[in-house]
Amino acid sequence: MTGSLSLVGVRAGYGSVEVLHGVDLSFPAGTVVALVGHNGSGCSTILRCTAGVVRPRSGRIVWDGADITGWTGYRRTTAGMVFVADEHNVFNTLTVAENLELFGRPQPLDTSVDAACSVFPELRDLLDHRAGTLSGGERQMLALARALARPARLLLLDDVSRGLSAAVATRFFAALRERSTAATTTVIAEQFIDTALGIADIVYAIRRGRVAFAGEPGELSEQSLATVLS
Amino acid sequence: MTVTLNLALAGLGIGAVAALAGLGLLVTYRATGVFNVAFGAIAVFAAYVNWALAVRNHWPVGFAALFTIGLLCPVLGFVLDRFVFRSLRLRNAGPAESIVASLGVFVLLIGGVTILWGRQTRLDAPSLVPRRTLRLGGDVVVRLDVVVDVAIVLILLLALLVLERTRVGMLARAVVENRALAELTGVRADRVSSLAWALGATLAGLAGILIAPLVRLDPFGLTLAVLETMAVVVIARLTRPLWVVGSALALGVAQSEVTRLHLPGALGAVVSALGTNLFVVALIAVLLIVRRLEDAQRPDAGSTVGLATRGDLPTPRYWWLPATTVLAVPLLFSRESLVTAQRVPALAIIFVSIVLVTGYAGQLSLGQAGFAGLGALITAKLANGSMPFAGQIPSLVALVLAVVSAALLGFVIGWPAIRRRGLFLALATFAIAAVASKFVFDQPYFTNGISVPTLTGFRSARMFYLLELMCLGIALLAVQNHHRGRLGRSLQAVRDDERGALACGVNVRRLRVWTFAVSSGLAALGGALLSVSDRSFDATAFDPIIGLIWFAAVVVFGIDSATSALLGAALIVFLDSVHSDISSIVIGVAAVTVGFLPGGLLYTVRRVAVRLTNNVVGAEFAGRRAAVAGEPSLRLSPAGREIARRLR
Repeated sequence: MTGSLSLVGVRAGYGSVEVLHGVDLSFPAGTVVALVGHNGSGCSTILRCTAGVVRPRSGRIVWDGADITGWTGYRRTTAGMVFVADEHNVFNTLTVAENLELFGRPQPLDTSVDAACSVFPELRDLLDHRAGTLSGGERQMLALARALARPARLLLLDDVSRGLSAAVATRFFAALRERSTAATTTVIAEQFIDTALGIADIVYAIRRGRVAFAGEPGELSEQSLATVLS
Repeated sequence: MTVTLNLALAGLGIGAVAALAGLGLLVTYRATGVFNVAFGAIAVFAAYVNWALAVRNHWPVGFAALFTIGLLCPVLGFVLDRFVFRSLRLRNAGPAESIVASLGVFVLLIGGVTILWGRQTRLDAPSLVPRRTLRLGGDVVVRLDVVVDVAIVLILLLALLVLERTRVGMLARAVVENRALAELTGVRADRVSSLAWALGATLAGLAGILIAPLVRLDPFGLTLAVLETMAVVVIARLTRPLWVVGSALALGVAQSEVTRLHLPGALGAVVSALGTNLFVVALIAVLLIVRRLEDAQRPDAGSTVGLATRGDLPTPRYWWLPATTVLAVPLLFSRESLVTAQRVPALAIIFVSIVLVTGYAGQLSLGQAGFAGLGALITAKLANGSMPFAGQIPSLVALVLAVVSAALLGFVIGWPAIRRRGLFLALATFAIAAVASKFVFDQPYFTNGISVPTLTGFRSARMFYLLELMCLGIALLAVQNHHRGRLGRSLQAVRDDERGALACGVNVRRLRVWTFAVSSGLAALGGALLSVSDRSFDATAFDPIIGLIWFAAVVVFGIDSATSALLGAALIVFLDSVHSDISSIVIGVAAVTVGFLPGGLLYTVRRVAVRLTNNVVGAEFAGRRAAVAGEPSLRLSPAGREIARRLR
């Protein structure tokens, strides 16, 4: 299936700590998939493995039928993957405009700025400011602008609403739904489970590095989720 | 007036070369985040290759230079990036590790030069431009090569300034700040750094070839001359090319004007040393005086956390056995071998002082050679009675006094220097060693007719060796005190996160100055013992370049392990007794591969050993459990392996 992504038996970790103990997941094309889990459950690590920031110790990552496990971040990006990490996700020493120019390459700057400001008009007044001087919420908007700046086939968004007000987060998610086509796969990791369940087609609950639940949001009430995750 | 003008014009030559070297250093640092200490060695290497081709092999000078600058240096830069620094990047290694790797390159290149072409000074470095002078009217003359050098610098500066405003400049800034993110936004980060390395190496090589005819060709002296130009990069706060060029030319002119100053007497010699060493004075002045200097973009530049290995592995049961054996065996040696072995404890004490200040306290200190030399010098002068205001003092008391005064000096210098962190502290300590070397050890006023005493009561080789072991024992006890308990925990906290430690109520500044002073004292003790075992005070034994090699050695063997430092000292003395300069090659190779051997040699050996034994245990445990529960075999975390070990 075009645009589909799957993780097969992925183990990964940091230093001597293993975080993912063999995860099998699939992300069909044209869907929005939410990863939910407590802190340290491994949601972020799943995204980082997919983006190539963290190398899996074993297992495979298959995208569009190709094994991309050994691809560099650069190659994944040129193939249409966009990963917004949960931290260090903007260039602090560059201005907002320069950040947007980089995010949208090779489009002209105006296109990227318009794309970003259509969802986050707050950014328009900040174009000449260095990203390092922005507030946490503004920086997160700038980071998320990367998901809007150029068409992507696979969007990986970690800890989306970090620092955002509820209104801004809702606005972003609406834009995300509006833009997603049959060819885009979107994977989000989200702290606010209600929000995540509200926009996702598929939910995976991750508990201590293993998949604890896989299904549709409707199958999962908040109580049952709490028992799955605990 | 005419003299002033002529001197200024002559000084522009050195200034231009310093600007070139500085720009090369800046380009590499800005685009890759690596402060390439090896740039001095690259310059010297290029100068030597150029000299060998032009003078020995009789190539035309222009052709030799074209080969060196146009082919050799870019390729060297590219190779360094591809095979040394890329593996560090892939591991997300900290700035300290990249400094060590570039020190490795440094040691390797300098070692190569000394082995290939010897340590003697050569005066016949070829000049690219014909040695002609231009008359500017009146008696004002300027050398043609100076004009050409300045022109090259100005063209380069312009090119860099333009480049910085373009997209390439922005991409480079993006790569430096956040490499992973840059790759994720589709920037070919590796290409940017390869380019920057090639360019940086080329500029360094060009500087080396241009400076060689202006001074002299000798491996250590020329390297130091080039290294001193770091001053202009520091003045430019590692960011502004315009400042690099401006301050380089200004310092060059000022240095040239100083040569007019002639003071009578012995101190006049010290003042006239300014005429060749103004850059290092500027370096130390800027680092000690200017208040805000830290690279705001990278507050953690120089953090040594990445080098730490403490607690990663269980302590082996007989950990003390290898070092004790190595230290005890020389007592059975014949007298001659014992005299060689006397260097081991002395060097080990210096190494342990580096372990304390860099390994435990997390401060990059490249200047231990300076304190070691001061310890040796003060001991000798006190024992000879040639120290002003002091009569002849018994040699053992002199040794103790030297250690105490070096520690006090470390305290006094450490107080302003300690405000610096990471890279800047490293540069400050290096500058201290360079100043000590140029203005004290090299000055006849201080070192003329000095003879190193034998220590009363420890005249025989065996007794002296025992005394050294005793001193080493004391040093180890002092260092161990900084490794355990409240003090050890505070130090580790400071090393891992200074602000966090401050927030927890650790008096960071006092702690850092304290360790700096203690380690200065220890280095002085080691240096004094070293000179006594050598029977002479040799200024080249305490050259700042030697200090860099020592530092690289300690990191290679394991920066936070005193045992590693002992074994390393023994290995170095052994290698040097087999063939001089061979140890620096070994250290260089090991330091260059620091990207593949995190934690140092000994740690790597231990880790492999632990992994081998643990895999056996782990597999056994997993097999047993699988038999019980019918589960597939497990992979165990370190804690799990430890439990498995106990269960067995």
